[in-house]
Amino acid sequence: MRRRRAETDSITLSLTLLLFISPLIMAATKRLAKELDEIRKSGQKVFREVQVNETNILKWSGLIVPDNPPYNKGAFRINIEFMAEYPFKPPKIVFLTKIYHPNIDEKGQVCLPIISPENWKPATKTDQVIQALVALVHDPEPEHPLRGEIAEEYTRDKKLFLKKAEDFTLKFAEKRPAD
Amino acid sequence: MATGEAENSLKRESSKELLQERIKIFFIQLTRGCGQKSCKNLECASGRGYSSPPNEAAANAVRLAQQKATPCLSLLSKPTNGLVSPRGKDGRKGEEPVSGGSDEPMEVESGKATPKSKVLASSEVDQSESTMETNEETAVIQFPLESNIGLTLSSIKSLISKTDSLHYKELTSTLWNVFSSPQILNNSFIIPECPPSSLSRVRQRTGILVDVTAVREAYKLLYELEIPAITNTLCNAMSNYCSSLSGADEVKFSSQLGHIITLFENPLLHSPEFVDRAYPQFLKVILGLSVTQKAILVEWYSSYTADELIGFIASLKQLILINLLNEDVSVTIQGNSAIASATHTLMLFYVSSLVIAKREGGLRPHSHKLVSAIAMPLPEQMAVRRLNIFQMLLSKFSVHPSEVLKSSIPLDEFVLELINNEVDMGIDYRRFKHKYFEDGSHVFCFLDHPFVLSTSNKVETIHLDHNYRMFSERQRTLFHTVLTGIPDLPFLVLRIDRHDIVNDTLAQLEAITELNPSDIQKQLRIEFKGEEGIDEGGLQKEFFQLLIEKLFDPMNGMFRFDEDNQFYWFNSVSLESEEQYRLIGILLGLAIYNNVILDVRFPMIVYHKLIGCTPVFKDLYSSHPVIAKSLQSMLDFEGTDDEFQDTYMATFSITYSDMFVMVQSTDLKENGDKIPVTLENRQEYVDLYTDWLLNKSIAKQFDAFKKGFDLVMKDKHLADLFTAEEVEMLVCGSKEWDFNSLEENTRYDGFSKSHSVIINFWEVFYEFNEDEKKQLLAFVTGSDRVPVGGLSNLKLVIVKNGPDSDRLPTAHTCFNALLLCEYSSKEKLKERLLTAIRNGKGFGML
Repeated sequence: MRRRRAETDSITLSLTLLLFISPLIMAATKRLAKELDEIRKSGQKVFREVQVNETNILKWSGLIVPDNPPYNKGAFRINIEFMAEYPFKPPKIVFLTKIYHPNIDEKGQVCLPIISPENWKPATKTDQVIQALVALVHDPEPEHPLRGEIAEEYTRDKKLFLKKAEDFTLKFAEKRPAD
Repeated sequence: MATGEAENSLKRESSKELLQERIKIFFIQLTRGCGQKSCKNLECASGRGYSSPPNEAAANAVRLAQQKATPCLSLLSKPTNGLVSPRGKDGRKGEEPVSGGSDEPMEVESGKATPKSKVLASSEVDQSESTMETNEETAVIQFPLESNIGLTLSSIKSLISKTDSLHYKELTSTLWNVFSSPQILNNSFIIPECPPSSLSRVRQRTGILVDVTAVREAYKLLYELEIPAITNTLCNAMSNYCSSLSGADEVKFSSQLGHIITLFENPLLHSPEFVDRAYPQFLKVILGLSVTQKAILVEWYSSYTADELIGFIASLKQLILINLLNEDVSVTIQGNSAIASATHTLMLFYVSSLVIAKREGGLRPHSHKLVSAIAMPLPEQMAVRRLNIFQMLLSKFSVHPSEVLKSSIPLDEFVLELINNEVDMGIDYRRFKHKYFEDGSHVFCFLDHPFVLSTSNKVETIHLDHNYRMFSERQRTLFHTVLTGIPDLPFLVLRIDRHDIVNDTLAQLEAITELNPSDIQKQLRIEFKGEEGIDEGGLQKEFFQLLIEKLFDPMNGMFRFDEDNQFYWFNSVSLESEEQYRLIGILLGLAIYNNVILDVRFPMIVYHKLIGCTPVFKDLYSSHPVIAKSLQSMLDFEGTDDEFQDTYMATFSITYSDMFVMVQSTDLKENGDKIPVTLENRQEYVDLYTDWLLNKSIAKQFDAFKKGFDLVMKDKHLADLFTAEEVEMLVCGSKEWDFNSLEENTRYDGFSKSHSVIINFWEVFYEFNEDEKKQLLAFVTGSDRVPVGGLSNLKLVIVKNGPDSDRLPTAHTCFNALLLCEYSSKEKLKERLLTAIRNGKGFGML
């Protein structure tokens, strides 16, 4: 899969200019533009530095800044990728920053029910998705883990978990932006 | 005509008429009996306990009348008119149905004179019987029915109030009079007088005025009396009614069919009394109706509830079952007239169910493609294949089984399991092809009623049909060769270069379809360039497998693979030529035609579209489940229009990503990007979006694909015989893995079933995990799909391949044969098998 994606991407680059000069603002991206605007204006502290790919409004990135231990020693960059069919298909979220968390795997993939294909509702706004994500970071759900061993540790020996997660955060996470 | 003749002859020769009357009475007596259990008359069917065949009965009736023998009393009190006189035997045509009371006095008079002594003599054992007989006699006199005046619920009630277990003759004779006459029945239980405009639509359209509630109540009250004679009377009356109709012109009862409705409501139709004779006769009457009359019945029954119809269906199925069990093995099932007419009647209820489904919105929008597919004569079969009644009714009501999305009557209710187990589809296929007997009467076959057939029997038919065509192609080419001296191959031979399989196949098939399209009908033979190997089926399988793998490879760009749902969907922005899509269509057709199972995974809507159905929103769930759910939640949105628009901010312009994950947009209608989606127009938006996803966006690709498929399957009438689900099964095989049935149906060559190697083999096999089992099957059969009808149809053969040695097991994929040496231990067997299946990709020639 990975390789295929990479191959496709390289073809994309070479063909983009040649074949497709897509209109800059399209119908479905109207809602995204508005959502982006709202999130930026809200000035929330847990999710900041929202940036949008210059050529593609479907690709966002931003910084999650958790308040609670053990993750409050750093910040975590995420990518949000919207489908062209948005809002009829859910967005995908990937952590770019490594994080020690039962519900986020080594590749940064996160299992967030609100954006799973089974549960997705097109009326859900990205802001709500972010809130749900932050809530999950703060309160792991060891019942539905992506990383079983961390989930086990979390339930069995929470102290050890907190210690490890904090070490991990200090080691890998980005610096928290100064207020 | 017949009436006039009868009247004239009555005037001219009343004595002859009396004789004729008497012959008829004897005929009834011989064929159906008097209906009295105590009857001891050896010339009576009831007395003997069996009935004479009509011809024999006719001859004997004439003899008895000439000998001035004494008929049973009860028959004399019953009107015999309406009975068909024995055909041809006494040279007289059938009588017209009951015309009223004009003949009755004569009958009663003639009945009074002779039979009394006999009754008294025979009923000494049962005194009450004799009093009944006398009662009946007087009852007829006391209760002469005015011509054609029908029964009402209240008249039944008043009769019942005068009835008890000993005194019921008045009731039974009234019932006899009413229920044996179509005319009087038609005037019975009609809804109270009211202006025609206030009638329900179905009554206006069908002209049926029967008050079904009253009929049911009447039957209920009658049967609650628990007097056996009532059942017997109704049963005999029904027989008489049927005889009166079977000889009559259709016209005579075409105007109104209320009598059929009333009789069919009888809740005891499938009880032994009726099943024996009256019920099949009644169904035969229905079978004999004209198409227009059948359409009226369909219309009428489509106003019933699902539960009510299921009752009728169950009763018909019971009749079929009983007849099947009593079936004489030397007669084909199709030749049993009770089964035939019951199946035919079942068809009326089937069409009614479709009409109901349509009314409840359970059908796709009617596609004219399907109608024309039905109405269009087949090029090859045209001579033998005319529209059957089923097809006529379907097009009359603009319904088609393939269009069913949901039906409150499950359509598999109609499948007759026992028939499917017993029927010989080869015979049915021959009957289907011939259609008419030499005398012009219609041949009954189940293929004209495909809804009763199981999928595997239908699949068998299509293979029979294909073999037949392949065979006729072979004969034709032989003929051609002999006549012209130019050799013509009886096979469709493709010589394929393994390294360029797609282009090679494409080029050759293109040439064939251009120059000689009928060659597609020939049996396929594959030769791989530079390889030896005779195609007995194995090479074909490999060929299809390799080609499908190549064509469906996402890197090829023709299809996209949906990881979440594990299926392929047409790439709407593919750069590949339409020819390649056409090739896939041809392949799918060839695979069905040559009975090869393919490992293709399409969402169900692809098969719906292939047989010509119009996609609807619901289909989006099969191909685009997440979008479908989202659109549904958009339709379910509750709130103000402002909130709606604020939430979705959608316009009639949609975005999608092309194969390079770039965003594209398209307008669903003109200036769509300027038209906001509102609460008001959201349904239109959803419909247009669906249409775009399932039709417009892939039109170019799908049309080419379908064209290729139709090239092979054009005259197969798939839609007539198969549902989309079944077409998928034809292409992909069944999805169920039932390994026990595989073992049960495995044959052995060189080993006995109880040989230690075989016992070890099955132990090893069941120890394998699912994947290993499938790999083993793929190793043996060349395909990892289950054949249609399940693994039991795989017909695995295990062949002994010499004594114990280190040789690996091998396989003949074309015969589904696995060759095993007599391995000394279970461990060795397991190890050798695993090694073989892991290295066994490719065609394993011994």
